[in-house]
Amino acid sequence: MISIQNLTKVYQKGGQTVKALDGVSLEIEAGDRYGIIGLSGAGKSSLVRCINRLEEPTSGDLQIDGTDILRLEGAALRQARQGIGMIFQNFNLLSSKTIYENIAFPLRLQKLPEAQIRARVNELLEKVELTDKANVYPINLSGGQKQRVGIARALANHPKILLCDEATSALDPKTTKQILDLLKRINEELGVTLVVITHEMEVIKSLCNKVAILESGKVVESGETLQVFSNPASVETKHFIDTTSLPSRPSGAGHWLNLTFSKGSAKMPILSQIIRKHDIDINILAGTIETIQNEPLGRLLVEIDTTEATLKSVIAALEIQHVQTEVIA
Amino acid sequence: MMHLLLPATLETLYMVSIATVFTLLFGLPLGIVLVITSKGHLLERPKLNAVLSYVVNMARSLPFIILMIFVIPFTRLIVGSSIGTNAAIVPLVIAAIPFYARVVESAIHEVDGGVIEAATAMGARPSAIIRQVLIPEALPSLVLGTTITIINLLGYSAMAGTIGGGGIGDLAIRYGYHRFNTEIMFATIVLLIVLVQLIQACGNLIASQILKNRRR
Repeated sequence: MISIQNLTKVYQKGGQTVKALDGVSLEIEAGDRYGIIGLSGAGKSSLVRCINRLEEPTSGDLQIDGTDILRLEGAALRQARQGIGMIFQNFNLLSSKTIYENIAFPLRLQKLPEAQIRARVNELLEKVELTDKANVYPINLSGGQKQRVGIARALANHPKILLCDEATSALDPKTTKQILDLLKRINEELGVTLVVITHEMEVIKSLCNKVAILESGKVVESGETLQVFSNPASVETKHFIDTTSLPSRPSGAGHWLNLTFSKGSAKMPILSQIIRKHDIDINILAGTIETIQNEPLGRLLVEIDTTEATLKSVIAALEIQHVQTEVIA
Repeated sequence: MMHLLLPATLETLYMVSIATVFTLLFGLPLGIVLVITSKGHLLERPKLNAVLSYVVNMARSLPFIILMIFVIPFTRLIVGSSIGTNAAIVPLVIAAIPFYARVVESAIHEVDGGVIEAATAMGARPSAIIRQVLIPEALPSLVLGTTITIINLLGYSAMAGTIGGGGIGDLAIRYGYHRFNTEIMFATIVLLIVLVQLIQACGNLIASQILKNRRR
């Protein structure tokens, strides 16, 4: 649906050349909830803004449903933008207009008949559960309510794509969850493709079926969320996963192993089977279980004091059971 | 004394209100153009912006009393005379447009860039963004800025009196200064103070009413 090929964005800042995007290629399919995660300054904001041309890429190719977005100008570009909703970290509601008028704004741009606007706005107010706030101004709303108005406004024109630029970063954890649930529902019920920019792992874990990790303007890893996080290939990806701090490595002790249990292996007593079979002691140093896309993902840091040969057969036994194993030197 | 004060006050109000209408008519678009042609804004045009900014600064560097004399040929062209209340309106407008343009510029500049971005992302054309986003969002600041401009016009109009523009300033010069009539002098001063207070109070009231509405 959204096909991004070798996109670059270069700009000058204080006499220096900054590469905000450095050859980014992504394939986002219809119905995806595609997360793009990175630290601030990684270029995620530039990337999402290239999709609706709020920013102009320096080179590359960007197509939406076969339309070359980068070639569009004037009325054609405005037309394309009406089919792409966008929500923002700071909501960006018009303080001079009521909630009703904020949601009606994109419809009024198209000069739709008043009755049609009223029907659509009321439908959207109901969807985001803000019918009672129709005639108040944004200043009276909480952050979560403001973002729901933002979502309603973005959906007004029945877009196929919804761009979410750090949509929950200004919200508390409880409100974040509500907004993420709403976004998921919109994706499932309306089939709207989500492109989610964030620096928070939680957002990716609970919302996104696919993820790309962006670092210094480059995609360092991308794919199915569970796949990427159960078997991270890059240092940057590990950085986002390693939320638990590991104990420091003492010298001369046994072998340290980092075990990742996903899909079926998270639910089975694999470790105790191995202990019995190989007659070894396993010392658990740290552990977490996370839920990514409703799948449990367990991590254990263990210490095994045994010979190299036994260690090899232990690792082999673990990998047969689909446990990702990493020996920490 | 009233037979002197009343017509003078009416003349002043006439000059200031007509001048205000024309100042808004030309100054508001000019101020908006100054913003939207600036770097990174809706219709970035660096050269046009630089030229406009230069012209505005140039017009603002002339003291009003000099500008008034300098534009006499232009005033004659427009109203057919360089003396009288109507003739005074021309330099008043010319002096107030660049001032008001700067006031508008700073008010519009305060509008949150994110809101403009959101409107652009929705496919709004620049004209729609100006009318439905920039002006309504900046309205309270615009009202206060307009108030300042009207008060400035009132001050200028007193100076315009010296070249036969009529009004309160003219009265103060002719009776208060040339004829040493202290009573008239005092009366005109009190009148001007009252007028300024009234204008400012009205401006404040309107601006706060707009803000109060938006807290509903």
